[in-house]
Amino acid sequence: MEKLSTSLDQNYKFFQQRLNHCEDVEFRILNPYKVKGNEIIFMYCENVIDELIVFETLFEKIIQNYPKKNEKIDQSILKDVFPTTSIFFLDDVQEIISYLFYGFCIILFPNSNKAGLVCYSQKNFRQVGEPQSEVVIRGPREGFVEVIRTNIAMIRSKLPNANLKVRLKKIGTESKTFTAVIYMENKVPLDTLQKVLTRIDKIDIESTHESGSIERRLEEHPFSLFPQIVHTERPDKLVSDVMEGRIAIIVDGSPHALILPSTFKMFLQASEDYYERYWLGAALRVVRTFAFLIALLLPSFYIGVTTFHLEMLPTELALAIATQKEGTPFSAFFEALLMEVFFELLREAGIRLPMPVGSAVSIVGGLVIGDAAIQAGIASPAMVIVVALTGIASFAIPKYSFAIPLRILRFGLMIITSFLGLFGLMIAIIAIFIHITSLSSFGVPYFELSYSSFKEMFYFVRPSHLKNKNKFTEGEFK
Amino acid sequence: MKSLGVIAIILVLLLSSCTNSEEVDKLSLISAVGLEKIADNEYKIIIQYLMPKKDQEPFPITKEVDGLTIYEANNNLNEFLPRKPYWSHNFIILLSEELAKEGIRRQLDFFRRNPEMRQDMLVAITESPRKILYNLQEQQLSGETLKLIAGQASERNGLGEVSTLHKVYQNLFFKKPFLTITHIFLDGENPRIDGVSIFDKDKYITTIKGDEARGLGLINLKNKYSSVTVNCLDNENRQITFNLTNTHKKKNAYVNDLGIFKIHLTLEFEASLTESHCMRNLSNTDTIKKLEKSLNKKIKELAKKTIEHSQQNVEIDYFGFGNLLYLNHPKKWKEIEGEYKTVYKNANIQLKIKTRIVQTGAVN
Repeated sequence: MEKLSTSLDQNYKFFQQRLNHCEDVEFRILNPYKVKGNEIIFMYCENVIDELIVFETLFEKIIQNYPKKNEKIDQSILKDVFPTTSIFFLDDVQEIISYLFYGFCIILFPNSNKAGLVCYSQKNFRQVGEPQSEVVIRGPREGFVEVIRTNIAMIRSKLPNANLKVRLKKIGTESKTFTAVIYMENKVPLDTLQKVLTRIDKIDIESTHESGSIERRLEEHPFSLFPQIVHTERPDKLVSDVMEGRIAIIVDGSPHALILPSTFKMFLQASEDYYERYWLGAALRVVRTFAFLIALLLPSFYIGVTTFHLEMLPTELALAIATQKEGTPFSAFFEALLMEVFFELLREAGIRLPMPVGSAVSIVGGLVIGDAAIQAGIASPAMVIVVALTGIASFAIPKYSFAIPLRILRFGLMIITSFLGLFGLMIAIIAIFIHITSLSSFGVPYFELSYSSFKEMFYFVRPSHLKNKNKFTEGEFK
Repeated sequence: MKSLGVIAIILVLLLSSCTNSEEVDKLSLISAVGLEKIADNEYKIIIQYLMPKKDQEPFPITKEVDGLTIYEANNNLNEFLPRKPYWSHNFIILLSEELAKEGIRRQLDFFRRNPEMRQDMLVAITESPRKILYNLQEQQLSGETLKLIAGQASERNGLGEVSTLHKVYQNLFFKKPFLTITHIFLDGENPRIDGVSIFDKDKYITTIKGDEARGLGLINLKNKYSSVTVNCLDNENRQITFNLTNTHKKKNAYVNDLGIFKIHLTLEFEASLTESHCMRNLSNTDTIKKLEKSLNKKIKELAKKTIEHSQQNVEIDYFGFGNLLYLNHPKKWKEIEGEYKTVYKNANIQLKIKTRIVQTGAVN
């Protein structure tokens, strides 16, 4: 049965059968005058609804206004009793059931193939708080939560503008997760929007609980190491990106909104760059660019220089490294590998542990890696500096997802450098370079070496690919 | 087909890669090398290498080895060194005077040819490299000390140019090579820079010391410090010392219609008074003018002395005037190239010195 029938009995039986063993769903039959064929049936899911209000307002008022014995009850009673509440009627069974679990009270009437829906949703979820993954010193302290309604409300309150469009989609054949596509109608490039919408429709997935699983299905190169979609927990960042002409996607149940199209440089930007003085923002972006290079290259560069190109070092430094290496048993490569693996272990252990234990681990780990490894003769002090600097540099990258490819590539680069020296490192860099320049995010080049790209990065101007020639006009796109 | 090409390119790149991976703790860092001649075609090579020790300054060890060439000696070194000799960080190449008389170009070839060699190592001439290197070992000093001393002598005392390997080779390959190399002398226990060795092409001739060496510095060096002492204006027995910085230098060389090689040399200095034993009031402009004059005279004297030495005593142009002529008038150079020695001997060198006293110090 896809549509409701006109028979109340049949509908009731169907729902009882369909919601068999869903013991959180309550059925209530209301028939105050005990007239046969004049009863109505309420259906609600008790955990996601405010039961008190349902009893106090819905039930009581309907009972008060219930038609007398000789009058038939019909849908109009809802409008009469609650003139101000939003009420709507549906006949699609699948939709009715999904609304039931969103926190709607469903009312079935006799002799009607439409059910009335009234929202009494009350879910107790996490409060709006400071975003965990994007902390700023200056800037709004609110971050997205798991409830899509709250998230959209936060965006709307920042941009009360009719040009801000919120288009709801449902993703997941089983979960029917609400997904909002948010964009500024007068700023978004039409072709990009079209691409995004068609690609969302094409997503074939049973259920989704986090925007990450959608992100992977939206990307053009899902097997690339580099993430091609920026995600954010900050409404202010989302709004400013949407204002630039980008498209945001919010998935119910996930505090991470997706922003697309994304480019390489967006991963090195923080929202604070725009709130502090220009010079600080520009300087910090330079620092982050260096952090990116250090996190990627430093250990392999160190291996290459000390094992292949010692003549490149200043003589004093070469001597100092030789002195430090004295008495350590391993080769520079193995030493670096060991310390990097130690470091990755520590990081992994620290992330998963509860806060108090985590800090203890990091203290012990710091001591073990730093001092004890040198004392025990496992690593040389210079190597510890290199590994520590690499770790710190990877923390300086504002987006966690962007540090992941660096962590993986670092090991590859170390291995290739241990065989081929700086020459091999150069080949690997060129290969990475070719790869990231070949990537694209919704038709926009992911990484561009051009003056305009440089300007966008350091002068904070609007990206050229978003200065659209084909602006969205009303009614053109449905 | 396309992918095959890509693979081929990658393979070619990989094949040409470095194969000289060496762990730093498997190397003996050579810090100084001395070359001495024992007999014809027989050389003694004395090396000093640094032995790193954990938590300690690396200490120098001196060893001697025979070999026909330096690379052969390098291989022979492996007979008694625990680690591979590593030459890139060598500080100094000491050549004995006897050896240098035969020409230094072939001795330096090894250091030039090796692509991994740093080109800033010092080349120096000394009577006996062996003595100097053993002396350094006794004092637990590495070759770096000698290099630093040479730098100090050149930069702070105007004593010749720091003759790095790169510069030596550069000078050797000029159209008219002119080569001056730092000379080291063992003054009792202490190695000391005492002059500049001059060369005819790559063959060692002699070493100039004292005033002559300083005069060479005044003519050749730019923006280096050098001190000049002149007598007081009122008292012949007392002295006044200036620190000179060369601010401007103009050299012009040409051959005039009569076939005389003419060189115009203008040197401008800024002098600052650093020590005065005189009683004169120095705030007087006339006094300053007079002092400038006597400074000019003194500098001219020093420079003249060196020029005379080069023209009359050794008959070698170690200032690079010949090269200057080649650069300015290459056709003229070709005419006189064959008989340059006599042309230079009769050359007319005109000196013009301008000194300006810019500072008289904190007291009057």
